[in-house]
Amino acid sequence: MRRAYLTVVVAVALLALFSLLAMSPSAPPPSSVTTPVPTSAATGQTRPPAQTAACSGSVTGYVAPTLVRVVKDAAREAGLSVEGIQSVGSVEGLRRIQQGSVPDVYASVDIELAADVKGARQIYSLGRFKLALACARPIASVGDLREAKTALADPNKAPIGYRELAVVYMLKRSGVADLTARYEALGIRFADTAGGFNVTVPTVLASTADTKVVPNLDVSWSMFETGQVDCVFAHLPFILGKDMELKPVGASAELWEVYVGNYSRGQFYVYVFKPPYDFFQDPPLAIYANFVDPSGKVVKAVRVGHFEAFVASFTARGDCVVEALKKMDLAKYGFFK
Amino acid sequence: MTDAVKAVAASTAALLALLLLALPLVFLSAPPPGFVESFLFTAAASAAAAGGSLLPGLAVAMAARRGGAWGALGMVLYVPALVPPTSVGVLLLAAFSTPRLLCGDCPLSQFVSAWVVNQPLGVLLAMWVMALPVAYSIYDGALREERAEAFFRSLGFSGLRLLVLTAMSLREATLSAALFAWLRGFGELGVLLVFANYPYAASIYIYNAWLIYGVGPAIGASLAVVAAALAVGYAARRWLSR
Repeated sequence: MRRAYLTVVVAVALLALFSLLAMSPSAPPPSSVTTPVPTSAATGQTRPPAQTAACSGSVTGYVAPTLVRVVKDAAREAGLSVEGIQSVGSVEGLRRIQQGSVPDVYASVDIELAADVKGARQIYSLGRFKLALACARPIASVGDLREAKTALADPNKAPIGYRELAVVYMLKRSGVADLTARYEALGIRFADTAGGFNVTVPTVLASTADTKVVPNLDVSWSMFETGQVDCVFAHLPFILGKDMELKPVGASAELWEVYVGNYSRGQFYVYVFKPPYDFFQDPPLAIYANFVDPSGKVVKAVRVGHFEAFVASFTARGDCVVEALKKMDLAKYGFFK
Repeated sequence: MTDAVKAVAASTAALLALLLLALPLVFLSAPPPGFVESFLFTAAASAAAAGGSLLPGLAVAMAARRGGAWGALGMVLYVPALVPPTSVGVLLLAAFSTPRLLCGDCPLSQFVSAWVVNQPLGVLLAMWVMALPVAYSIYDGALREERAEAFFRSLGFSGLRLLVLTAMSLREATLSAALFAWLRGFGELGVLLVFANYPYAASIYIYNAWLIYGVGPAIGASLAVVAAALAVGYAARRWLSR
């Protein structure tokens, strides 16, 4: 009996030691990393192309929902199988990497997160993209959204969420339409500042009958597809990533260009915003999203900038994906340099 | 109990405690605000869901024992356990979207939008769906060893009274089913993320803590939920089995 307990204790101690070593923050990612590239200004950095021999087998990836299609296409182009590519929110993917679960490739729609990616072999900008609004039925003006049910990707977790809030207040400031009431009903507050405005977002957001707060763009789209909501804000590449062809319809309006596409419920309408509401460039105002916990303490503050996606590679296999991306025509996915 | 059994039991418990409790303490920091609210809400919603799953779980277990088509009923109750919880969330979302597709903005779809999706009733429903396989499987196991149903039938009981009496006679199984179904509510994330992510249940609270505040607060939140749920569950079990 004593021997059995002793065996158990030794086994547990060895396991503890092994786990501690594996969990050590200084442990390198499980890859053939050579010299880590600093990432603070790393966009567009390149290294010599990965060896062709590395471009086989299955690639693992934490890829933002918007980028799944383009990254999978690149992986296939590189000769890799794509079963290991997961659709994971940008922040969630980053959190996993920070905890030591490092994939071959990480792709995010939020260029601000590039500075937090440590140990990448290379970081490559896919380019900029535009904000769009998808609606099940045509709308004559953005003011029609007052009557629509919408889904809001939680700004605490999804960068598109706070950009939706920013565009809503920009529309109000420019006198186009005032949609702020539906967001204020969620507990969100808007306040003008000297150079722009602040959006204050509670870390706990309750849904209302008109606005469903959801964790990310994938769930937001599910709400739209199933008819729970009439309209959703989405990245243009996200919509294109659903394997849908968008055809222009009607005349271009001052605020947006209108397209029509098809999905499981039939036709739907896509309104691609024009500057400055598209976030293709940095907005002309200083816009800050301040996230406050229930005690009122600011947990995080974000300067709302333009939309730009990037891909980070952590292994030779990840390099294969990045090298393939560099050769692809990314414009057809909605990305522009 | 043999030495081998003791060794396996001790090593299993030690391994889990090490991986899920001891080693993560290295990163521990205080849980973010909102723990009490999310815990109390989860405890209440999960208790209601667990309570509501007992008699249906028992009824299906009793019916399934007849075999044939009735046996297939049991398989239906396993559906929430067979597919990933996220899929259950998508399935529920699709199911509750049909009124809107069929009758537009009619009163039924307005009710679903205002009271079910991302609402407390939705959380309760999601937890109930996920509690059913737990209750069913425990009763299914218990009924194999017991003659309670036959005994109460021989006394002339039927219908709801038969169910209640059988549940009460299967005291240990009922307590286990209630406790495990209740604890299941704390661990459920996938269904809630898609179908009912507000009010924040404990799982959503931990997930948010991880995304918004980082690893330390998420571990603090997880361990706080574990400690509180186990303490309440243990106390309830002791009290109920007196």
